[in-house]
Amino acid sequence: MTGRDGEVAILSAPMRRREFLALLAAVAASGLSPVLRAAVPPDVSAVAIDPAILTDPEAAARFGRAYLAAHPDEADPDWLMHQLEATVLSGTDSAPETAEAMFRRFERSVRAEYADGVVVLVDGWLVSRSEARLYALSVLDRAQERP
Amino acid sequence: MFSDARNLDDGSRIEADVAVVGGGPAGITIARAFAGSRASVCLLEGGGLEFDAEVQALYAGENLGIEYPLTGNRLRYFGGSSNHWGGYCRLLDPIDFEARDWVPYSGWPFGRDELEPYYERASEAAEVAPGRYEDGAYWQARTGEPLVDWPAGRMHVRFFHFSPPTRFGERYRAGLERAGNIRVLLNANVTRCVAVPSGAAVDHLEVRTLTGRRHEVRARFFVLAAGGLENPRVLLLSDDVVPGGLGNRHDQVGRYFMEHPHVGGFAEIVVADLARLPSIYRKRLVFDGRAGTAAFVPEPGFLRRERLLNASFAMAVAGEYGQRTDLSTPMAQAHVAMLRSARRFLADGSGAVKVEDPDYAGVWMGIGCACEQVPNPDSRVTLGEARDALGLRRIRLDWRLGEQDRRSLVRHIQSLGLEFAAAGIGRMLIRVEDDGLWPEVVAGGSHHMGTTRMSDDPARGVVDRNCRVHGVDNLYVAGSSVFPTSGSANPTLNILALAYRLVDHLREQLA
Repeated sequence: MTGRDGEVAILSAPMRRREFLALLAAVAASGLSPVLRAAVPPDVSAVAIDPAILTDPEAAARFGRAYLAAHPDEADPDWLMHQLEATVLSGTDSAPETAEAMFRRFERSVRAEYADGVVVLVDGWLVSRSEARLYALSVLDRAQERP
Repeated sequence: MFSDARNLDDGSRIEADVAVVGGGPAGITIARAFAGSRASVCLLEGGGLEFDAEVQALYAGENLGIEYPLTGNRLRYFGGSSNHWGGYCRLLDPIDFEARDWVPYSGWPFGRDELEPYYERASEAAEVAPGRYEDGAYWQARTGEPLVDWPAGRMHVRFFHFSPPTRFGERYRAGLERAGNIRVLLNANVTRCVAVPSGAAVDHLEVRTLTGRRHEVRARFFVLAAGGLENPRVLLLSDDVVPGGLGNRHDQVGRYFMEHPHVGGFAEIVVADLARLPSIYRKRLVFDGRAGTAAFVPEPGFLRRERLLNASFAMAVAGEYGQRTDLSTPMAQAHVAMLRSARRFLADGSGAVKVEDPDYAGVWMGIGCACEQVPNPDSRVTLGEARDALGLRRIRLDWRLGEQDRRSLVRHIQSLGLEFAAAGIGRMLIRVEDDGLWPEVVAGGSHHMGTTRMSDDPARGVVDRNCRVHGVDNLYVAGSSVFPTSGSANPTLNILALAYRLVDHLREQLA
């Protein structure tokens, strides 16, 4: 499997988000060559966005639910994850390799959204679009984790 | 010298070089400025030295528009409304003086540079000198905390000084008593400016007391300094020579009434880590003997881009969420939920914000706001049919706010929230619906402005750039009734600066 083939395979396979993230983590952990790393599509991060690290899922649930109620078309965890990853990777061609770097990127993106007015009202709160999606993803993640 | 009009012989005639109507901050400042000069001044105050309900009742009137407490937000006794003033001092912003194509009827006859020479004396009168209203380096040096570089480009920071607050009557009474050229006449209600037959000048003031005495005051120059509601009333009542009232040939007197609309509880901001918000943004701090705090004001460039009106915000910590906080209220639950959700964006690290209190989530800030409103000719003071104890027609106020005013307020509230979030300091909960309607309860700041507005064009204003009433050679107006636009700064300091400027003009006229 060449890098390019792999890229196509990854993008075209109907893979579940968790499988996809697991694969990414495996790639990151495998110490594969930079060439293969570069084969990871530029719109995904080498370190997964984990809502539980970025926010308090219990507290965020009220905002996540409110956001999803106002944007029911976004109630898809894979789609939300893709949007958040795209946000993190926006304006850069390298994926963050540590959780801290990923958080910094995400924080910077969120602040930029506030500065640019890319915001939504969630339960009356002025929240950046990506931050609101993070809360929404957190809710969906918790729902999936429940037996 | 102080005397009481009730104790003068009926029909007394008083003569002075300058007669000033109204013993509030503007009137007292003008009189003080002449102390020790060769000009004689008579300062007429409708009330006495203390509050008197019967006198205060002369202020009652009728509301046609937004409910407005006509007897509650001004005071008719020596010192005027400085007797209940909160002490906020800030300069009008340069953009407030500009003709802005998106603000109807905007534009002063001059820019802020015209008032700059007078602001320091105004600050001294309000006991806040030297004024550091726009000197961020000063506040940074005094607090030892770097100011925040607000990143969204919507707001910047100016600074309020807080007057003690100066009660102008108490504070300056002794100096006026000592001045041999100043006579303060108490309980002297000016009921009319009696014009010469041509209407081109005032001959004398008609003065009456609640005890039935009538006097007259003659002067070379007359200054109305009775406040933004009484100044137009006196002009409108002076209609025996000029139908419709003095200075009202173009039906401008009383129009363009403006306030600084205040809406309660429009938003809250939660902050997890106060170390990210320097103290000057959230507290009144005292340095060099006077208090100050930050005022959040829209960037002029942002106002131009978005075609918005001016505004200013100030805030303070209103509550803390820690170990001992009652979290049973919906508001507390909402605040804490956001503080915990956004914790990683609002404080360093990922553990407890405060090691000593693992439950500590942060604080919430209460926000105060003063907004500019569009000058509106239909927002106005007229005379009603009801009469007061002196037999004078009471005022009828029709205070109106429009969609442009509301839209600006909403946009500025959002802008403040965006700045706090973009700086990683806080999150804003907005409680004002952006539904095209003003909130049900809107109050003013007891700032009565615009009713004798300044304009070089007699068809668009009541007074000229020297505050002289158009078409009346010796009649002037002092106070915020001459403001063509209101800006968002509290008016008192700016009233004082204009008063000192008027004194310079009168001195030239007297020479």
